[in-house]
Amino acid sequence: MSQIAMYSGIYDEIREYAEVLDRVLVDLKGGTSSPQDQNRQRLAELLISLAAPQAGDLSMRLISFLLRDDTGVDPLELSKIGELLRATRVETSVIAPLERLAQSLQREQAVAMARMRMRG
Amino acid sequence: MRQLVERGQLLISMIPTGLSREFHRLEDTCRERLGDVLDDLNKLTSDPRMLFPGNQPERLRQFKRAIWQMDLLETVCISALERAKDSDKYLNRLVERIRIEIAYPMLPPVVTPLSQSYFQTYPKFNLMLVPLSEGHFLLHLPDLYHELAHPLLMVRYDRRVEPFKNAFIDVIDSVTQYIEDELEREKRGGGPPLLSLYLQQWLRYWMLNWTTEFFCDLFAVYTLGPAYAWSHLHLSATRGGDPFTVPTMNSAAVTHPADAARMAAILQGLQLAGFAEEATQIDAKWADLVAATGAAPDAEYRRCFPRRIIDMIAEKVLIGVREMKCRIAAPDTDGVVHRTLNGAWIEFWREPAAYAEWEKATVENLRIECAKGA
Repeated sequence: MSQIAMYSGIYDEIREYAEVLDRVLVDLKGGTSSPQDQNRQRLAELLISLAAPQAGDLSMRLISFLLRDDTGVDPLELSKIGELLRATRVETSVIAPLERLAQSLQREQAVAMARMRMRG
Repeated sequence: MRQLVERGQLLISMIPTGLSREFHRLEDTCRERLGDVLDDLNKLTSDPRMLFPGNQPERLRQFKRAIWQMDLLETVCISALERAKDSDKYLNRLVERIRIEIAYPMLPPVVTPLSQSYFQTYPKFNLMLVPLSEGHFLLHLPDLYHELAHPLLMVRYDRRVEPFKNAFIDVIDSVTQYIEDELEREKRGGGPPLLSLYLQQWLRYWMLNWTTEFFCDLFAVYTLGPAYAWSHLHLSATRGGDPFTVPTMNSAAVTHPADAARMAAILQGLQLAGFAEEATQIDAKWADLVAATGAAPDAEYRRCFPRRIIDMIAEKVLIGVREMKCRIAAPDTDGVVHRTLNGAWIEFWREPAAYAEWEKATVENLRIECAKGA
């Protein structure tokens, strides 16, 4: 598999969760987010898996690995937010750490895209 | 944003019509994905929530993703469709035949011969690119089996594919544990910091691509047999460098594990599948090749690709492929593509001088076989 094809796979894996996260963020900011929302449930699962890197499906493990040295991401904090998202109404204080996570995912996608353009 | 909508619509209008049915799925994927991108872009301009000042970071990120997605669709999918020709039908029929022979659990990818970089697959588009002339030859077609494994690792919610993915998770867990143990050992022993950096870098490769490549190699070994090993040997001889190379701090990014590590896994797989005799023959040729290159494994190589990890991968993949209910190749396996590709390597070694003529006639026969029932 070429570098382009490989990084397109990695990019796709991250993209799905980045989409989910941004949708949930918009709902949280607008006060329309509900624990039953499917995107919110998927995000909660990802956040919880960040604190237990050897858990979750393949995509979650990959994301967890990519973020493990990111100083802007605190897996324990995000895992707690994941639990809250699953169960209840959440405070707006969760938005800032989720924004940081969204920025980190954005950076990883940019890296994958840059490597795809590198050809070789 | 409006310019991008314009570009998306132009791309949709560039999707050629009247393509043969082999390309209909890719055409459909392109239209659907481009439609999704355009929906997202329209939402970014018309959804009142996206115009709210507090949502501008989300809006910008979504906008970038839309651009990236459109770039990928343009450079990969639309290009493939633009250059689709009637002659591509053969490769698609061949892959369909392989799918049936090996009981591949998914739809086959669409194949187009426009790769500029050997065989490659875009799993999310279910698209495989092969070099332009590959359909005229046989010796490297075993790589089709390797490429078929890539999409399996990206399937979600399909129970049939779970055993393969679970095997993958087992392997990355074991590799992570191994590297973390090595890092701990380095820390305790106060070794040079460079070694710890190497280990961290290797873990990244194992996680992002090497494990996938080992899985695809072994999927090919278990579903096709010795022809895949011969093909890897040939590829290493003609295009490979030092077969024991491992990435260090100054080396360029690599996508594949060292050729020697891949060959070790492939030979172990052949042994497990009951091809001990063929494994011995290929191992002897491999040893000749390695001797000719003058290369030898160093401590880094052994540490990066420990034998017990390689053997463990071969065992796990066999379980995964078997439980996925794919056909495991054995010495008595039949099937026109299986027979042809394995036979090609036997013929190549039996009478190298006459091989080209034999191959020409055999490719013609294979084309006729693949056209039957199409």
